[in-house]
Amino acid sequence: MILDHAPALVVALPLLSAPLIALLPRPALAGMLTALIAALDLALAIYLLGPALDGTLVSYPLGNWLPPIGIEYRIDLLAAAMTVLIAGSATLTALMLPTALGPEVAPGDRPRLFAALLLCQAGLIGMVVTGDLFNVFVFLEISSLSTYVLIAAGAGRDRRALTAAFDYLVLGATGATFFVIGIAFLYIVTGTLNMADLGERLPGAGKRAIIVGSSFLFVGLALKAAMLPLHRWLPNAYAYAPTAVTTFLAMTATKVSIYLLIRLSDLVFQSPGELGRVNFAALLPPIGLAMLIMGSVMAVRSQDLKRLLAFSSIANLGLMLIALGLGAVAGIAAALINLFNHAVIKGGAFAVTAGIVHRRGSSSLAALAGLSRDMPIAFVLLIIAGLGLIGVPLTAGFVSKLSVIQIAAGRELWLLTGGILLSSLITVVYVWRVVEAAMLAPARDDLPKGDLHPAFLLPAGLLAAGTIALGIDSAPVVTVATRIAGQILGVTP
Amino acid sequence: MRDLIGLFPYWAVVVLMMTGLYIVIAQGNLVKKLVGLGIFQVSVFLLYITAGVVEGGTPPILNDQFTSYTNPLPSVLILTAIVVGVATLAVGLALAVRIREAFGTIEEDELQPLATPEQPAQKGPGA
Amino acid sequence: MEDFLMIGLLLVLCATGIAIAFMRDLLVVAMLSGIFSFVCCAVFVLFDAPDVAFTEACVGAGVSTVLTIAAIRLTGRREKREGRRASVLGLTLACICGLALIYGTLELPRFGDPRAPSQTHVAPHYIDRTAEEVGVPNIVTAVLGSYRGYDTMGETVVVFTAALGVLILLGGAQSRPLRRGDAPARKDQDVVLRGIAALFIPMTLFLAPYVQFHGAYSPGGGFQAGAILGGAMILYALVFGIDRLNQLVPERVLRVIAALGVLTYGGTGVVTVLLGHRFLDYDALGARPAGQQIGLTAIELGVFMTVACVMIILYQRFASRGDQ
Repeated sequence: MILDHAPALVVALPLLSAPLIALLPRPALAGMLTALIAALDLALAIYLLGPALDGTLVSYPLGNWLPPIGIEYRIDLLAAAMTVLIAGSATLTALMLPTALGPEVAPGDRPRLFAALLLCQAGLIGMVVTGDLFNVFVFLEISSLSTYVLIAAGAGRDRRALTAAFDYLVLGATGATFFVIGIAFLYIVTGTLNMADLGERLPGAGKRAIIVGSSFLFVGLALKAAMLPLHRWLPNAYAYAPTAVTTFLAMTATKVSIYLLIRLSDLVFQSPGELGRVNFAALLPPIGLAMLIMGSVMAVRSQDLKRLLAFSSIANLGLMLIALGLGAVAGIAAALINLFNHAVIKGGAFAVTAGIVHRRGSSSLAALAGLSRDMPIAFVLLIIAGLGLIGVPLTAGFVSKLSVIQIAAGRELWLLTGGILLSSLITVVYVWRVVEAAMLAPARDDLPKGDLHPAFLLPAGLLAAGTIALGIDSAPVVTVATRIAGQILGVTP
Repeated sequence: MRDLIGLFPYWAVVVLMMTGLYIVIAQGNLVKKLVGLGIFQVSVFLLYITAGVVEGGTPPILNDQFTSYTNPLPSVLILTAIVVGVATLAVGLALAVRIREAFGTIEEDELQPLATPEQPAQKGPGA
Repeated sequence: MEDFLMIGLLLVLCATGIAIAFMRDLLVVAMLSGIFSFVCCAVFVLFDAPDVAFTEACVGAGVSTVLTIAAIRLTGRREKREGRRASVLGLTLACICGLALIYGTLELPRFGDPRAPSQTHVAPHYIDRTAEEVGVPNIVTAVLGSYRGYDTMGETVVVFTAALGVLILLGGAQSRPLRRGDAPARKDQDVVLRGIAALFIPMTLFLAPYVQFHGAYSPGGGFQAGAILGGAMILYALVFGIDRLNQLVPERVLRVIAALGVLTYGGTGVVTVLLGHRFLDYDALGARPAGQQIGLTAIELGVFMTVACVMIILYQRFASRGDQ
């Protein structure tokens, strides 16, 4: 029956509906259809989660050519969980996008932007479910190209969206080319592109070629994951893109690069944290710590809410990298817990910001004046996100930070533990700056009144509720993350 | 001598890749950067094809006269990659044109001061 | 003999690359990059990869150069003097990467070695079994369209995404499709140009379907054919004016056909699923090798439609910008 083909359909559905939606003449219809298709895709993703939770690995050879002759889709628990995350983010964004685009985008362009969102979704999911290394590259390019276009759509409000998109394009294309160089070296010494097959054939292959190949793969992924010092594109891209687009990017784009790091360590190099014979895991904690501190400090200095949240994202990515670098089941599980929880928290923060920008026209801290009085719902939701970012108990952020601190303290890595606690303190500072701007700054009369538009209420509300729910009952995320980490390391947790 | 000829294609390709990378990093004109990116990418394609060569082989089109064929897989991968490269170039050039219209320049050092975060938001001229 | 040719061509490539780095006139840079692509084609032919050479010539040297020149017309022809700081950083990074790569190449299989892992794993299956499994002599087409057909579908979507992006970015204030009278009827009055164009364009229009359908038996296929047809139409617009091209093929028609191309490719996959087989499993369409060939024809048609229309759309948008 048709659901047997869910692995292929979860990508094909948004991919093939995009051209149709791009042709529609009426933006309203296009917007509704986009949300519908994203939601259908989410349903497919949840369906795929079922067998994965049972522990079965779904292998789907496309064209019925078995790997390594053909391309296969391999869906294990990690892939299924990531697919649900991406599809869910896309659905929430699709609910906000039609209202959020507003006057900055011409009506004729809106169906095309919705199509670009669906293509981005299809590209990201395609990267996550595939078991073929070159297929990753092709879908990486699909998601990247649509991302550049989506970011540039912010030019209607701020022309710096164009330079942000261009910088991301040049960096992204360079990173993708490094990735392809890495694939070249691995292919030349093994003869295959299938990730599982590569994993089996690498031990017998030439050492230097693998080191160089894996280094280039790592650099390519580092660019996409905004690792220091290749992080420069992120603050601008997040700040100047339409805020609904930023919500989607914050929840998915860099997370997928972290996924690829985990996946390549697991499947291709068969020793997590060690891409090839180079122990990249040793590099990750220092880079992560630097990102953690730098991101938090720059967030304090920001005058604009979106920029502040973008730097906060860099800090949280640093935390994920620290966890990944610490390795072992606990470390990888902690990285994944951070990944999912941060997607929920940050997604909520940006969703509220999208609503604020829609109502007030700007996201600068000065424009937030009087928020607590005129937009109380938005204020509360923003506070919840802020508490989540700090890591207050009863929020998802607490669970995330605790999981990493436990490992670091357990191994007596006091520098790391201190760094994480320090960053939490700095987070309090910048969250307080937002609260101060929203609550204590004298209200201005020239700002429009009115709370969040309903289109933003549902996504922002859901994500804020998730932030608290996952803080109260963290068991689902923690168990799944631990199981995934166990699968990757080949031990039963 | 044979060994050196054996490595020469790879080294020439590396030189080309680095020329392209240098242009992307160091040159300030946005269009020039994109051209450099193109050179970088085409050199990587050369790397793949160089690896697929078989001595005494023939293009991978089945023919009763031949028994030894070149590897078809790199050709397939590169066909895809060429098209992806052109697609990226097209979007990049479109962005460069819009930047020129919005900022009046496409030189990176002139754009820097115009695009700092401290500037107030300015709409780009209509698409 | 071949060795000397190879060394010579590669040295020409290096020289062209370095020249591009130093040139300040962007029009010259565009021309040099076209030359770079063409010399790469020659190297590809020398290395027994004619399909790649064909695609690089049509898509890389042809379309890229045209688009770059169309963009330079709008952004300015001259480049400024670059800052010294950036060049030191660039040189250092490039040197480090280059040395790392050379270090890696020291352990690669010898150039042309038939016992290299990439020649003895997966590839022999394609070479030995294509005749009975897919039934077309051009192994590259078989791999591209059937064995790794899913990648090619992704590639077609990438082309469509580029068109989507350029339509949004260069869409015009009201973002409506180009109509008659939008672009000035700028035609070339030169008799020689018009004469040669009048000769070349019909010939190219015959070449495109040939390349398309003969792609299973010789180098060729959907991408090359689409780029050739697109190129013919671009030549028409260059010589006889974009206005005439718009009358011939209005943009809204092009957009629909481009979308239909992607849907044809993906639709083939959907059809195979509905017939109870896996996505893009051409066995659903008929017994091997007939079913495979039906599938190949269908998807190549989809690719052709999308690539041809997208090339024309891209050119039109760049060429008519700045005239409104």
